[in-house]
Amino acid sequence: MEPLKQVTGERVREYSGEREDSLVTRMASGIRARRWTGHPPVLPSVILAIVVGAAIFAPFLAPFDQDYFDLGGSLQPPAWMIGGTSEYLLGTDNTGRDILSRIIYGARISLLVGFLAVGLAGTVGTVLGLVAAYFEGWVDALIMRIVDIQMSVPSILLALILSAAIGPGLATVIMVIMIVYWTYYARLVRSEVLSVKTRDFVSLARVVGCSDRRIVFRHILPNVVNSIVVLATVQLGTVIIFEATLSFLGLGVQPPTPAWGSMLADGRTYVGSAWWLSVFPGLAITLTVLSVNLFGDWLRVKWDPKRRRL
Amino acid sequence: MGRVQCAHSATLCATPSKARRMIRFILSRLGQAVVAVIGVSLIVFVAVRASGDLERFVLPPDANTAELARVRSEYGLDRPLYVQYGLFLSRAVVGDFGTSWRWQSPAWDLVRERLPATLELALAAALISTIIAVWIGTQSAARPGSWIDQFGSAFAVLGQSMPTFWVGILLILFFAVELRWLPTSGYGKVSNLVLPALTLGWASAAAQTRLMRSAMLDVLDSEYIKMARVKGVSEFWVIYKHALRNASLPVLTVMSVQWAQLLSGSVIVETIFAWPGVGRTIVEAIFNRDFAVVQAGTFMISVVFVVINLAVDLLYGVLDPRIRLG
Amino acid sequence: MTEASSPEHRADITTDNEPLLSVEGLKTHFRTRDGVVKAVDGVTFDVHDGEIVGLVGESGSGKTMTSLSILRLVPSPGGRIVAGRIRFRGRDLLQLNDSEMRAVRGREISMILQDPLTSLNPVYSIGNQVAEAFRSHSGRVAHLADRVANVLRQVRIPAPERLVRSYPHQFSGGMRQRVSAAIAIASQPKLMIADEPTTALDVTTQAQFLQLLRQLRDEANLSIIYITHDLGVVARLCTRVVVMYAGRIVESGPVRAIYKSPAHPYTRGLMRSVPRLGDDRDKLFQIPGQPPHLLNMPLGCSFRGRCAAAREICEQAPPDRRVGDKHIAACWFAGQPELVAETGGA
Repeated sequence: MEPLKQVTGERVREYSGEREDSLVTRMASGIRARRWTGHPPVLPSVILAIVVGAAIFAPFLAPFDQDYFDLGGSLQPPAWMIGGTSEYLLGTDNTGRDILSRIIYGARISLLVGFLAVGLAGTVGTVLGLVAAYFEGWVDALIMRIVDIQMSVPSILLALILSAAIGPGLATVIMVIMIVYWTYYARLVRSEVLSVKTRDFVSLARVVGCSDRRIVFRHILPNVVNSIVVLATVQLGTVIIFEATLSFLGLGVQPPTPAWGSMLADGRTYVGSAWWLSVFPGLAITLTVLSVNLFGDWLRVKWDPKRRRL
Repeated sequence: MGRVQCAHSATLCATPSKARRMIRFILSRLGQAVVAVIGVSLIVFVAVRASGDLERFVLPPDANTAELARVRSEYGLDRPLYVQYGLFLSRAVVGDFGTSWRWQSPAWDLVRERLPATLELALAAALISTIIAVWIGTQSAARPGSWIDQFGSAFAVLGQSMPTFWVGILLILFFAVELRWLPTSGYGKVSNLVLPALTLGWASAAAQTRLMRSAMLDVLDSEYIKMARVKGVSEFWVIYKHALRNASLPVLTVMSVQWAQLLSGSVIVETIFAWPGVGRTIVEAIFNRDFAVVQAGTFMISVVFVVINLAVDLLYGVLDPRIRLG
Repeated sequence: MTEASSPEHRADITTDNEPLLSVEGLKTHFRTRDGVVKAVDGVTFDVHDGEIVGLVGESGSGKTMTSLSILRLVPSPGGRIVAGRIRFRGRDLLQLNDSEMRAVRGREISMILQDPLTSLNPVYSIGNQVAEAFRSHSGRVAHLADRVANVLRQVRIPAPERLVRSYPHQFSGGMRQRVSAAIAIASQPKLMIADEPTTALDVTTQAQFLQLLRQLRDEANLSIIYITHDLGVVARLCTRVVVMYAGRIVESGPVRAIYKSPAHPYTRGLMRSVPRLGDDRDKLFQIPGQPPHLLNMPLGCSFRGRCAAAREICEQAPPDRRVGDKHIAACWFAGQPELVAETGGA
């Protein structure tokens, strides 16, 4: 979830009191504070590597082609259960397609949408946030008003309406997610830039005669980049789930392209009889998002020790 | 605080400045809320209109142009967009959102009937998630490193990584199919409410646990906590009286975001459990191109959300005397 | 003081009556990633009835941690009292269980914290927090409102009824410290520990607060441990002084003796650092060097690295040398002023 400050902007109060911490107190809390070391956490990195690898090398890794089906061998249980074969490690779905292969191919959609959508949302949001903070005045008011209005609608509803308007599909999903999530970046960037703007080195740059654009890109932006990247990693997990949700509701990529969310939707009908249709794709989503989140946590701690406990 | 030079009417000056500030605050928030709701309705209006021609949906594929035209004029779709919007707004103000073509009854009534079910679900989920978060979050912060801390932290991270619809399916699989303790769907009894509320509250509980724990850890470092212990206050009250109230202040502001997520999530949960709420109705209406219902439904949800935000702002004022008294 | 102190020295310290508080060989260690931090490393001192004992030292010298150890509020995880005895009115506080210790806190030993801004809970009214001091030790309190008002009057707060419903942020630092003092004396404790209570106050308010402490001591026969790094305050308020450095006591004795003839090089350095009116120097004196990192405590005398009089023998832990009536210094050369006079630089 979003770190406190980004979401609530002005309404957060920092409750850390300023007191003279003796050496000992500081060192004592060092145990709690130094939970993280310099290198990234092992398990999440491994899982992420596997997922990314699966997405890239799917045709080589997957035992079956993503569209291959065999109606005769439908609804076969996973290999370790009675009735399962080692051919279909995780079982087959209602049209005899190999679950494992579809999960491997499904990684493509999840990661593609995830990175692309977050990248676009981040870019659009950052630009608009910069604009709002730099020009202030009515530009700022307008952009923030749009942000507020948009955030008054639950994101799923907004996504549903837009998807219905544009029609389902891969491009739609990416665009919809971008539209839903740009607001978080705009708010974050705006508040950070506003606070950086008042700092002395910006005034100094102006005094020296730097142009507006130069100030923005060379002085303000580098300070804000960290927060943006942190937000992006935090959001990546949310976006992957969001894409899966849209696929689940039938608004994402259309069949026969495998996506984890739609696999789960297919499996709903067979919950009682063939649980593997629903459990494994969901597990894939969870593991991926978990790894992304843990990795993001590590990244956040690495770059800002003050937030280490979140 | 203190005296404010008052150039307005005498009655206005007679009210104490504290109350005056409060009223100003509420009015400004209300104003913002109204603007937000109108903005939302505009977005929905445009999106819904753009999503395709209603007339093609209503009529069978082989309908001829005359019939298409008839349906268009019947629903006022042949007028320019801004006219349609103007009409829509003027009618919306009195609660007329049009007629659902599918159900052949006023859209607003349809949505209004289903609102209690959604609120019931959201409320139950909010309750469950808050109780879990407060309990696990505070215990986890009070005993860092203990098994409850490990468990709490694990739950906090894991819970947010699991998509809501998967949680629902897993719960159904476990409690309804395997154990047969609870029904898979339906509405009416408490047993129907358990799984949907648990599903909806799951991710929210995880997020709030994390926040609560973090806020508590920060607060427990404060001098006034040390002071309370120095006074001899029992550990129970140190945590649940002194620490909790201060910790809940920053958590509260995020909770309003959480409740938006709940309203979002209810859409999915209602679909999975066939819960007769507004969310599910809106989803069906979107697929059916039932404009009226979509507009009515989103309007209602945004109003609810805005009201919740306002309530949270006011609650914040109550809990933190520094805001109240200035 | 170190364990090397011999009995005959100890006998000189005690007075006729049993001390109210007797800390013996207290050691509080912190386990950190990089090793063990010995915040309090063998501290021994007494407090008698009606005394105001000044506990003096730089930050990190262990004075705050000593006071927290007495109340057994050492921050954990990480910190632990590993050795020693703390005898208070006949009982060893380190042997008490949690609820017994809780009964001691606030009731028999109380504490005022340093920062008035943060030591009161911002979301509860002053009346609530003062009342809590009463309620924590006796479940049902008769005439609670009266008792709250009375104790606020005792700390010289005018019109306490008005104060009771207000919140901490509405008052100045001086007022808030008085409230803290009221909370500290509410249950009529015998011993109060004041941890730098006036550091955050301006000079005038400080003087008023010290006056208040003196009055409380007289009115309630309260003993006070006053923790500070401000030698001026110690001179005005305390009867005895205990000087700490790097977790150990380096000197202790009556105020007059310490100020007139400091025996330990560190104490001498401290005295010389305080500028006096009429001084002819153009440079402020500073004890050379830095306090040692508590993680890598040198063997032997902890002040060795900064002491101009250090000799080879200082590599062994110095004993407690008696240099006057109830005046003790932990230095091999205590009582040899001609050698010690070299300390303190040019």
